[in-house]
Amino acid sequence: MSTLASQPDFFAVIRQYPPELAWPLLMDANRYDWQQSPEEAQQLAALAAQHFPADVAARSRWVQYLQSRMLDPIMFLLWQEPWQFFEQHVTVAGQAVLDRVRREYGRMVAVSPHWDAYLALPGCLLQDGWRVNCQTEPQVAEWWGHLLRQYLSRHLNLEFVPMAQQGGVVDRLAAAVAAGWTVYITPDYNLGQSAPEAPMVPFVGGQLPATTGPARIALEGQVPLIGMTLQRTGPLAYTWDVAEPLYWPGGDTPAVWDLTEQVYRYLERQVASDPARWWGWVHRREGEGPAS
Amino acid sequence: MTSPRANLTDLAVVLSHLPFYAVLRRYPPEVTVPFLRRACWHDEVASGRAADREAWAASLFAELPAQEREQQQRRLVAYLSTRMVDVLFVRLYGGYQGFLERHIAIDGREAWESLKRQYGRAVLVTPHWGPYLAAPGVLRAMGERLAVPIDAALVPLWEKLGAQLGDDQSRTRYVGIPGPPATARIAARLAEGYSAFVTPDFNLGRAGGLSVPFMGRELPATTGPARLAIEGGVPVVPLLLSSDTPLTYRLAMAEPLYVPGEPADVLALTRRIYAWMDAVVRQDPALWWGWAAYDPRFRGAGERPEPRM
Repeated sequence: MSTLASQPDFFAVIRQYPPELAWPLLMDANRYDWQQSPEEAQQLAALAAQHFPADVAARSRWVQYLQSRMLDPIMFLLWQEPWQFFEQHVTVAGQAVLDRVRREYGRMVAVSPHWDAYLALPGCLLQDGWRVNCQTEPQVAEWWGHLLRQYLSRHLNLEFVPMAQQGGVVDRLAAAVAAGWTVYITPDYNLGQSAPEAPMVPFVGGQLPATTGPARIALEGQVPLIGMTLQRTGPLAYTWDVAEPLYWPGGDTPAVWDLTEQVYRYLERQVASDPARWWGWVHRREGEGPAS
Repeated sequence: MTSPRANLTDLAVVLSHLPFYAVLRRYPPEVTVPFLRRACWHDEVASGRAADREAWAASLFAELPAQEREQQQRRLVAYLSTRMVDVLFVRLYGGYQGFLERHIAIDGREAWESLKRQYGRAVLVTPHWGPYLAAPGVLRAMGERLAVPIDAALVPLWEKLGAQLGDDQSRTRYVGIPGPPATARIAARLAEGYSAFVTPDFNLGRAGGLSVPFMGRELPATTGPARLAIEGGVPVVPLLLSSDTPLTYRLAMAEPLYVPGEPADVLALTRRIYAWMDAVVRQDPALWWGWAAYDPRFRGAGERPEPRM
């Protein structure tokens, strides 16, 4: 997205057209930009061959997914207000769960794998009426924040917490929960990586450094822990799948590690349903095993 | 009812968002042009102009059998609604190396170069037909220096877009109409070595003095192009830009209708020019913008003769 992303005027004009018009242009332009980076394409192809040694079709799908995944949040963010993108293009499975959480707690810890259209999940939460706080890399936070302020009138209800290299993220997210925010976390990459002592969990045929952050925030904050995914089911068609709660306050309190294991089992189930849409392969270390 | 005339100046997006086009042109036309075409059509439908034109076009082709009428009606509406895409395409990409080789087939170029060696410039005539709007851009890509009479309201637009895209603007001089006598201004450019790109059917019914047969009627015609050529001592070359496939065009530069040294008969030359344009338009009347010139809603004239196929 380098060319498009550096041109805010471009976005300002193109969002005047409906998503059906804009989407093909963005897809083609994005594809073109990638073609201009043969070195990156080569690196991706090598990674794909490493993780999908026996499945050529999956390699291709994975590369295509990586190259186009930024378009999901772009469409949600830029096309929401002029074209009601969320209302027109997203089917919600599990609205009852969301409504119950809203009614009884008003906030939650939402977890999702880096899978399929996960980047647009904060946008879904926002449009469903939640105040959302999510962790992200500092430079990305700045870029999204700029777009958010420019194009979304409800931008005050979505905050990015730039991740520091040395901890502190979990405490800040816990404070956000205490202040009434919903926090959106993708535990299959970020929170665990920065902790050298993080235990390894089995994950999609390999090992993943795990984080207990989501479980701790939910248990300490006494708020539900909800798994969710956003899946691209067709051109401009998404399904937001909200699972039954992984934790609901009030019953037996699970141990942090037990709840953490539940979280990772949930995440793994989602990724295993279509590993070619998992961003996490990018950071899987050599020797951690190929996809099943 | 929205006036179809609005189409001429309905490029507010160009004027207000020139950087948009500067970004678009970084991508190949295979990426951008389909979007521009769909966006253009979207704007027409959203504004209600497309629906207006449907009814209007049906009345133009009322004498045709029903099936053919509907087909021609659809084609004319599609043409009127998206013809700006041709000119935008050539404007955005015409300066790129290899543009002509990839996108334009040129017929009669050798004869044209020969004429240029002898006379330096020419009066180039074409009707308001097909992708005629893109012809000046194609000629510019060929290295020609042009004087182009256009609607005065559009002059700032194209000059601004040219500046945004970094074009050498000295290669194209726009002559805004209305304004001081256009023929004199074009003659001055001819004297400076520019060729004149003129579309004489624009003035049909407005210029008096001569009647010519055109589209089944005797219509008052402008003698300007003939006078420019005869008084300027330059040939009159008919040219036609057409397009059968997306992103490829054919520029046909025909045998001259006049070369200096021939009998200097302004009226006879004018008739030859109109006869040639008449034959072009008749090949495919659904690609003629000139229908618009006859409709009172376009100009508010109200008393214009309607051409017949």
